[in-house]
Amino acid sequence: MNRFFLSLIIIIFALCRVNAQMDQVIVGQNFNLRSLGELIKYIESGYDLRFFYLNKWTDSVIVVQNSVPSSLEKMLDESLSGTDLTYFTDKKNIIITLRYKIKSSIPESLLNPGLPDENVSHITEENPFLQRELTESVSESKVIESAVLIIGTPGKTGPYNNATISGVVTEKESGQPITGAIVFISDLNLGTVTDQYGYYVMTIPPGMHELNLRYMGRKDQSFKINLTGNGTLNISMEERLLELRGVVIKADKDFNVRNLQPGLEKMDIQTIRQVSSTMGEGDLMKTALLLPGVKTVGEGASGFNVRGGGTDQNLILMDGAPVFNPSHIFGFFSIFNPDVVKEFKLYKSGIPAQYGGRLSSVLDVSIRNGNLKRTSVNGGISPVAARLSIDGPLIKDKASFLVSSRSSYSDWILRRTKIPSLINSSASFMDLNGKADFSINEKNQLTAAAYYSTDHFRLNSDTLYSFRNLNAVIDLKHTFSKKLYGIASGIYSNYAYSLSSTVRPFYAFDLSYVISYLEGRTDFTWFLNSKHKLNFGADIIKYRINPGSLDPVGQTSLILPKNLSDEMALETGIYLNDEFEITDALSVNYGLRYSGLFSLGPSEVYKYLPDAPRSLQTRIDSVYYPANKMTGYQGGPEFRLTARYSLGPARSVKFGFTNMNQYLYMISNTTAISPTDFWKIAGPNLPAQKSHQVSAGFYEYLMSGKVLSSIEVYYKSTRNLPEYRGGTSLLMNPDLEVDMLSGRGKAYGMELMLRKEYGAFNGWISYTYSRSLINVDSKFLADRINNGNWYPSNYDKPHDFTLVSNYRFSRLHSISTTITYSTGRPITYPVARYRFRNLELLHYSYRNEYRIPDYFRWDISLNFEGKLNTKKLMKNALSISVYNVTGRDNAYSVYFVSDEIKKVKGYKLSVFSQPVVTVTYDFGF
Amino acid sequence: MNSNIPDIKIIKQHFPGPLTFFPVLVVLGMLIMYGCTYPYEPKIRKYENVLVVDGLLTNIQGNCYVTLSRTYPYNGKPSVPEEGAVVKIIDDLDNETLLSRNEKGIYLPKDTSYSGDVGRKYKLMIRTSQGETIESGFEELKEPVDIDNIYFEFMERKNGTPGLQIYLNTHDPAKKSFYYSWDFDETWEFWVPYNSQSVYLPEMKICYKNVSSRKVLIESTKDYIDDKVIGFPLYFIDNSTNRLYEKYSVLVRQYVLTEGTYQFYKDLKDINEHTGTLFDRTPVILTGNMINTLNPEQPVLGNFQVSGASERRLFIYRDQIRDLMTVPSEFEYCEVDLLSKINGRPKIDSLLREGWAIMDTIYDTEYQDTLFGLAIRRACFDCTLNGDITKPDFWDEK
Repeated sequence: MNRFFLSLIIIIFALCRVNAQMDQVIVGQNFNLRSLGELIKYIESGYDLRFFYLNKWTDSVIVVQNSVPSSLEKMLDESLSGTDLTYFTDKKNIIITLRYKIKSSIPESLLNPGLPDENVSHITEENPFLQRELTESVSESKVIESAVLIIGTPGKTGPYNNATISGVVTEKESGQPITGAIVFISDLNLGTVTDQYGYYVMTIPPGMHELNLRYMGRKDQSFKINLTGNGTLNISMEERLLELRGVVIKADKDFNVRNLQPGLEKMDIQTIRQVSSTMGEGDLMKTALLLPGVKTVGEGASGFNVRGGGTDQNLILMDGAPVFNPSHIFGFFSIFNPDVVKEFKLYKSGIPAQYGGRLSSVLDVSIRNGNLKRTSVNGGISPVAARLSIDGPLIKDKASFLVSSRSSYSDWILRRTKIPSLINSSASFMDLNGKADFSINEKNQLTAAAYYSTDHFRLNSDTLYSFRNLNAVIDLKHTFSKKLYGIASGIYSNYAYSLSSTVRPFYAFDLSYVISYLEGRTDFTWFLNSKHKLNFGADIIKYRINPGSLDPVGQTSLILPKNLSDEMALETGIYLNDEFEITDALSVNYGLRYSGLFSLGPSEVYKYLPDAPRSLQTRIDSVYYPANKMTGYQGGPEFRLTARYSLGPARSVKFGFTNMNQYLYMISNTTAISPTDFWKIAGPNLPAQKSHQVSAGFYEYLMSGKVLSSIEVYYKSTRNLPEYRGGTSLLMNPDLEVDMLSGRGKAYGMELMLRKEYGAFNGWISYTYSRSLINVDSKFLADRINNGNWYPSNYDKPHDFTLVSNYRFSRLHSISTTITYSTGRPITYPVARYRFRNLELLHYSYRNEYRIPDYFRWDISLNFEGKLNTKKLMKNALSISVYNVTGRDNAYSVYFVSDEIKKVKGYKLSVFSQPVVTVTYDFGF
Repeated sequence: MNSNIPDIKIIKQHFPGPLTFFPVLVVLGMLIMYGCTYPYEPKIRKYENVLVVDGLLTNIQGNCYVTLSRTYPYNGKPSVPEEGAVVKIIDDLDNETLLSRNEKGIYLPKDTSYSGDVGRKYKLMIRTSQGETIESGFEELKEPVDIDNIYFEFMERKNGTPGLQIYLNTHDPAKKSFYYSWDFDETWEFWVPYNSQSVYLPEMKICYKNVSSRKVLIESTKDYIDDKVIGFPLYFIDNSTNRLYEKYSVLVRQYVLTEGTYQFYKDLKDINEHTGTLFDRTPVILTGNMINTLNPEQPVLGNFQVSGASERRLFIYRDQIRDLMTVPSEFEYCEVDLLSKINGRPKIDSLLREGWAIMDTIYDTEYQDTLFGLAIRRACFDCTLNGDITKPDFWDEK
């Protein structure tokens, strides 16, 4: 185990020693061929230099001294060359390390040259290393500066004699902002978290304070500041190259508990890669599925279910642009290329008011910005796909770009599944990400991002399916003052699919579907004072859906061209959110969103007999509305509330209430999302879906702050869930509203989790008990499902257990393992057989009354990173992963087939019934 | 003949004993381990007893029947057809036709020449012995459309199996039919390779086998420019059967359906045939046009199909396909074994139980004793085991 710094022998001789710097020392005595330990003892006894090392390393090292006298520097260089040891020195301390070098760049890290500010106080040019107080308990990762930073223009203070300190926290290597870094004033027990721009602001009394900065995977920093007035402190954080056992600053721990939002999960790309390198790709959605409350109907199924909600109830955002189909190859991969993902946030409850439009969750994925300092290239090869990305500065420290692409090159995955219907199939995908950001000046920052992907597959038939995702976002951030900034965004998203078949020339056709989404929005953040932080804004979305157009292909085709008329609507929203810290212990975040949907023509709006089930026969009237004429309006308020009460430094309780409206329906009558499922907009005869959720949680740090334990409970009810009458063709159906039924849903559950975020050994263990039920009842027999009784939803999996653990046994090697167990999903089994014509058929009755066998999977991945060569900066990584180590044939579904001898037989379908081994190679320079 | 044949020569492949089964099981086990779909019979506790109606009325004489049955448990045996029901068909002019149950449990009109009239509407009414009254709505008998053509093409399936794909063409010049379904009866002549000389009648060499289709074949031309079906793939005859060995014939019936009946078949296909994919449809209760009038909440399965029907026959002769593909004989497994008295009664009995028969005996005239039996699988010399010895009346039409 190379956690050597903790067991490092720190030898301090309190002898009278010569004050000298390391490079000034000349050794007059002959140490040639003697042990390094002897030399060190000699030097330490004679000079006030300190060596840090492990005895067992140096015992076997022989000193090389070509001449007497010789400089210490030269002796060390020559003695250590050819060994795995290197040393680092700040002229006073010599740190010997095994196998890697320590980089010295501390002074720069305190300043961000990209954003100069007259109020930034420059730290003393002296190396802070020198001023460090070396005691046995201080480890390398916690660098406490003794230098005092004087911040602010004296006299420029805010109300109540408070001063505002703000700034931007960035990554040292790339200059990119860090979201979610904790800025904490330990003496005041006050803290904040940087937003998506890396920005933080705090209003605190002037005077001497200790400011701590912490972010996972980066070195902790601590500054003594003397705040004399409103001022700026921009900080760049260095990557924690030395993976040491995380040292938790006591104050942070307390802060974490105070800041946790109920039902919010956040994860950065390092964690995603570590946790799930399933099939060789660090997959964001696969990682999300390991979190409590997030489920799927089966492996290989597209989408996910959050707290008993449908796959269509998740707002999936890529840099703010909605994604209508988040999967490649049905559901084996997500569309998020791991090379460009920075992090994701998943809101399961307590969804802030700026988000709206989906009932269950918000998955907010951020794409990283290009490196502002230097150009870098990253890529990787796995059995499925190859990736390559390039990013770098356009104007150093001002503007950057990022271009990344991923393309599949084999049907490897389909052949692994061994499903007969997939073996004769083919699938391919590609995606392209681009992003540019430009700091126009201190006040204005412009970001543009775009995404494009295509998928093609053929499912054991002659029908070729294709789909395409396209989205683009442009953001302008303007800082009005230190306390107020705003962002104006233009967002475009477009999802289209087509299926075509040309094998039978007389019936060759092409069917396509398109949804396009255009949004304009503004969001403001106002740090009103130390008690209030306001978010407010407005958005307007224009939807245009072409629900289907069928065209003949070729001259001989008999297919009649058919084009369903477009659906158009405007969705609007305004919101206000206030984070209000009422007392030290109690704070609330309350918000209101008012959303509405204006349905627009051209369309025909039908009226139906009120006392009969809807059908073409019960249509009594129709009104035609021309283009852009409003055909209907619906809308209403959505209330959001989260409250947190601290029960002490390491304990807190939370409460949340979320009320959401969803104006988009996903039309699907299959268990898993199928390639032909599509989105339809609510309208005069199709009211918006609505949900209410209450949730509560209790959080506590255990084991002196190393492990966070949490328990969350929730209850959610939904209305207007889409269901369908039996015998309905959904595709190309101009009268779909006639065949749709409306259901109610309820979901409740309890999520328990123990999580250790830091350290060489980290991960989490979670258990969830949850239910998700649906009821479709009506006074009309034809409008009922399951006789109007409640039945479990397709994703109702009551018990769910997940263990995720990562162990980094050296800086370059780590092993991750995940174990998941869950109850099998519900399934409808037949209640009887019967004969009809020459066929034996099955009679299905009660929906989802049975369950497929329970699901269990164990994955292991081993990650090896290549030796870091500081000169070439080339990074290599090799990852070997085994998916489904035990080869358990988890059921995806159970189905029945009537064979040739009139007999129905049951079969079990499993997607991966054997271990799948993948090797992935990643590089970067 | 050698008189001291020690034992029965048993061909192992035909008699898999426990030992010979073993490697088969291992191979099967491996398939299960690496395969992804395999048999799985879930434990189904519930059972719902529901009436099933299967009714047909066409314009073709004798093509009218109604069967009544009940659903049976998933793990149970098929139920017997429902008895004691009053079944009648009423047309929109209030003419009643009573159907009575025959010995097989099928309800047939008393007048065997009864048929429906094009353009009339018909309703099926049933009163079961338990007092349930089941009715359909009035269903129109649409004008039949002739089958233009039935033809075949040699092709290889994706898995490499060669065979004949049978296609159909049809069109409605009036452009008002839109919904079609088909079923077919296959008949083929086959010859068994052996002849019994002494024990059985020697005429059992040539037989005819009849098989009815077991697939729901439907097509809608609603989304086509013309009310025209071209190259509809009816079925595939692969070379693993002996259908094409001598002479083959198929009678295809084409029905013009009402929209409701078409939709019923489409759902039936979706729920019962399109399974085992990653995107299976959620199953629903499949009901047709039959309603329990006293208790509408009680579902009635099945459907009453009223259709204009037309027929067309196709013959395929051995000569037509000889150049396209080789049709292996079904009887390649046939081998004659010699049984002697030494084998003893029990052994011979067990053979007979396995489907073997003594085709001929060898009689030693000198000792006046039957020394040997020539044993063979019965199907190898007795065609009536798999077919019908009477030649169908249409057989020599072409």
